[in-house]
Amino acid sequence: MKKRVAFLLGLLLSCALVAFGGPADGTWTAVNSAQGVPQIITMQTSGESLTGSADGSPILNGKISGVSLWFSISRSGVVYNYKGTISGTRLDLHETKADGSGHRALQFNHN
Amino acid sequence: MKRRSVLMITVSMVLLAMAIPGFAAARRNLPGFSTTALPANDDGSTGQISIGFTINLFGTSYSSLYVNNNGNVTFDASLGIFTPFSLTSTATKIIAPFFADVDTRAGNVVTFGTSTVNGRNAFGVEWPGVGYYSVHTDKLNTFELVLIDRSDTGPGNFDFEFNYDSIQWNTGDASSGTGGFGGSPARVGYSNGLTGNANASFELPGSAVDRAFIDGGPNSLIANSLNSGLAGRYVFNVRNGAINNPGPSTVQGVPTMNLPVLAITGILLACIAFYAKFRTA
Repeated sequence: MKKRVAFLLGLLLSCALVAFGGPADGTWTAVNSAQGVPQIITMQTSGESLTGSADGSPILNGKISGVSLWFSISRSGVVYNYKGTISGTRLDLHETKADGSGHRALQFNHN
Repeated sequence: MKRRSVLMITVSMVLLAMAIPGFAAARRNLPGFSTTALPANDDGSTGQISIGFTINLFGTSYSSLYVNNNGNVTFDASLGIFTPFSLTSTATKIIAPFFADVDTRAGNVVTFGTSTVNGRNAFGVEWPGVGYYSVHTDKLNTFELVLIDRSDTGPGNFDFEFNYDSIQWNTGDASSGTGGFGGSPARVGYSNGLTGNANASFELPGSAVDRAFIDGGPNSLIANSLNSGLAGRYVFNVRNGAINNPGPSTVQGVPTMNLPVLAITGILLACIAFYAKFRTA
């Protein structure tokens, strides 16, 4: 009986963890579809580590702290840096190349 | 008459001399503090950097630290966070003269190194006219952190100073700022990274308040001071690992002299003195 209760509690805890993942976890879709801008970003967090992909390109050096996050992706041999903040179901990201050029402000909604 | 002339000239010189300290730059800007540069970056940090002496900070001895581009130094790991978090509830041991999203990919870069202050070993970090994210240099901040060895008062004892010459922006674009303002503004202070009763932290009044620290702002960093008579200088004494925790009320507005008025007064007095001397001759 005790084992069954422990199993059920464990199952409930696992479900809760999945249901209430970090604020970045899941799929984010671009609000506007400008050329060369990632359209779908999928993120998973574990502690301060952020992994996932942007339009299929893997997220590199991803980190999250509270509602602030930053990562890089490599597209066509060019590294783009992203940083921004999550506010509820909205993700505001800033994209630049490594030298700071090509700055663009991007918005995403959580699916 | 000669005596009067001498007196007037002396008064003029004293007035002019008094006018100067109120406008003196708070930064020490010693050449040794620019020995090494943190290459142009955004959210970057150094590796472990030797301080040159050993400090006792909150009960732990450190002889090295991490210089983080975003206006702070940390002791246990580098810090790339760009939106300033509350220094009174963080788990990070940090000293932050201006925690905000500094971007040095354009303009000046952060430098650091060792020197001496009043004959004592010192380690300084310079943020000499640095811009903000993303690659903005239309407004620049100039400030400095100095750690000064005070092992003459006890092992590991030291002072640290926040010195400010100019603060023109307080928020980067990625912290919901626009034109250097708004969003989540800069914070100034320190923390031992512990919670509850063990917490020892401090935020300067004006932290997280938009435009508060800016030159001319209500908590202007260059116009106020702490444990110092020099506007723009904030001095913290660390003794036996503990910082003499300053309350917000201890931050003093340093009366700054009106340089033009004093200068004109001095010149007028000098002219009168010379005229009087000329008449008697």
